[in-house]
Amino acid sequence: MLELRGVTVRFGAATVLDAVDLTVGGGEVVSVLGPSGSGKTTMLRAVAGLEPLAGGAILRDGRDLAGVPPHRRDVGLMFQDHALFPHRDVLANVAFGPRVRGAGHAAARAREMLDLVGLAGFDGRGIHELSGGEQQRVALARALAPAPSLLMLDEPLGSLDRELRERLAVELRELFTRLGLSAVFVTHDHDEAFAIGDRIAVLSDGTVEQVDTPADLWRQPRTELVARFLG
Amino acid sequence: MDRRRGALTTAALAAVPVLFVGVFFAYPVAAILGRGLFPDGSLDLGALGDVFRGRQVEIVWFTLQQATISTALTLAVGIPGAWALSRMRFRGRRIVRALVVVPFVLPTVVVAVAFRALLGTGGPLGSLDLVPSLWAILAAHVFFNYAVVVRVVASLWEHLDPSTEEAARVLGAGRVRTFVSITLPALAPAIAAATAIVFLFTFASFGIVLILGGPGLSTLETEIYRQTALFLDLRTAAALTLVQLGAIVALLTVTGRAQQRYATAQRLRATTSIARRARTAGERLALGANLLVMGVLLGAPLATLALRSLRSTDGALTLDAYRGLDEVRRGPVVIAEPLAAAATSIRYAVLASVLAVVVGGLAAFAIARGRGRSARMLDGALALPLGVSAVTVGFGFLVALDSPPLDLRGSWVLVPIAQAVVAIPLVVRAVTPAIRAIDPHLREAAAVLGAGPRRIWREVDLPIARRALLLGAGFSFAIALGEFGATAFVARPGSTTLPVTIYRLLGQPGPGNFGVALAASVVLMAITAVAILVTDTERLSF
Repeated sequence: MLELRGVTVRFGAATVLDAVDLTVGGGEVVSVLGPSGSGKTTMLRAVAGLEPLAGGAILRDGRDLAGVPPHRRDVGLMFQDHALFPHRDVLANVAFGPRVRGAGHAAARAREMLDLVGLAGFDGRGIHELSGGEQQRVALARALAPAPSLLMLDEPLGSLDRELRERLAVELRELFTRLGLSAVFVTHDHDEAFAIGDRIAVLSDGTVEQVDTPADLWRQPRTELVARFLG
Repeated sequence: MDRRRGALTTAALAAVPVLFVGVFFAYPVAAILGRGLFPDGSLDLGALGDVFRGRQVEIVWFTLQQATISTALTLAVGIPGAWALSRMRFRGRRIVRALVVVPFVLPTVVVAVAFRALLGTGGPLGSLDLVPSLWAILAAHVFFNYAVVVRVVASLWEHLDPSTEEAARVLGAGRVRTFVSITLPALAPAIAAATAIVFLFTFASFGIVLILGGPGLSTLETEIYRQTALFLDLRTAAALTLVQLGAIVALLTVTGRAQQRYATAQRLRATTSIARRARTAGERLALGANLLVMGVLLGAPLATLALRSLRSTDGALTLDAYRGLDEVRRGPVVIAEPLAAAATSIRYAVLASVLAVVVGGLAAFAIARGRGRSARMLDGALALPLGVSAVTVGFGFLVALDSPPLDLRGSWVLVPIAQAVVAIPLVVRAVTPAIRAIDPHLREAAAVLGAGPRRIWREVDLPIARRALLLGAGFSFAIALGEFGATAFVARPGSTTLPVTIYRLLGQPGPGNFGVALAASVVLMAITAVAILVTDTERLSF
């Protein structure tokens, strides 16, 4: 279980996250929905340990993560720009996590993940030879490979065209259910958020406006801002 | 990531280069200051005062004068060359662009010998009687620095938007008017940067002035060497070095400003190249003239060098000069076999480039990771040896490293270390941008996947920077191979390098010695050429 308690992040004088509270239960998928600049990415980075907190605490299964460096946090993060290693091929990218964690059979595990995302046989391909959709799948396989207990995805479908996005959103949801993963899915697109999340957190200007199931959120938006954002 | 730990890592990375540059650069320079200002333990400005009287004043003036004329001439020849290589598309453009850089990486001694072969007695232009003379120095300086002007100016020129020029033409401005009022101002930052660099290089030029200027023409650099090596007057040498240091620090400040403006101008550029084929007769003529200048200016000295090394004094083709490469020469001084010196040169150059890549690479990582003042200071401190002349490094070693705690007097290790000190700034310049260009998300992705800081460095930073590090290694090797200014001070009979041997051969009377010097220069040129071919000259930046 992941718990954010009053998490505050500042960049200089600007407060990017302002006392954010959020809980993600075991096996639960939470969509974080908000316009660009609302602090979605910063929230994921804070959980991954890539941004220091100005206040509040982040807990995993009740344990405070303060002082735990990113490489010991056991979370998966899929970057918006994928951040694939350009100097390594597809297999080496996916095998990176298991390998640096000292797991045996890193290559076998990586092949298994590539199979899972539908890229079997792409092992020796260079990153630059891949299409946007293929890069996105490699990034997903790489994030899944170390079997993190929590997966976070930052606008994973952002760069793809509409049709592909809708199809992949459904596939992702099925994958999460099949693997029983806890996941935080960040997006600025309501359709995606509603299709994927068990619950949806609406973020605006660094504060959580409302957290609810898709149905409840749709029926009773708590603030005017949420209502307006959902249309 | 934990900020404090990051800062600590950066400090640890910086420790090795700071220590190295401290011991082998700052400490020697401080020792020179001590010698010059406190010759007997108390402040004495006598020696420094003497510099501004009599012959010494002439030397200071001559240093400035030859640097000014050299720079002006190089710009006059180089700016049209930059036009040809940036705006004109022609067959063989890529090869010409690569070849133009070659002179810049040649050892100064080879360049000086080539011009002596061309302009000196017995050469094709020997009747002009130009060696020794200011003209020979100027010609060699233009040859040497042409690449700097062409590359720096062309890289901006090829991205200037031609539509502003076309607008001026349509508005009624003639060709000249357009060039002066539109093109030239747009190129100003690049021209300023090139001017600063060329002035700095020619101001601190050593081998060329020493060999082509003869005993009559002295710059600060050559005078420091003469006072030390011939007259053993360390007090005067130290005073001259102080003047040199002061001038160069002032120049570097100006250079830094020019470079910064140039960097800004480069960022503003568009990404598409606007080179096109010559359309008018005038353009074809201008392009042809530029290619001819490149061919004659860059080709003639090197071709003469190679051809004359194959001819005997009566003009017959012979390999005699090359046969002399494995002979010990006995005259007023004994000169070891050039081939043995070549082997020594390669050994030292390997050592120096390893040192330079390790020290310079660590510095580059520290500078690229660091933020703010401390990183800028480290950057500036490590750039100093590039500007501050090799002669200062060599002389500093002589003065500083001959007594405990660092008594390395006469030790061969001083030679590769001196060469590394000269090469480090170039490694830093080649590697730092490559590390800065690494997307920080890659490191973060590696961290989230479970890699610790050291693992990230090894698996992300190092492999991506590898190309730049290899480039730095290649340059360092070429620089160390041709290094003359610093090596001349610290090489001893057992540790003589090929450039020093060539210089000794030039000073040795007797038939055949000049021929062997020519042959040895060809060998040195060939070894450098191989090193440079392996490295990628296209990516050389100044």
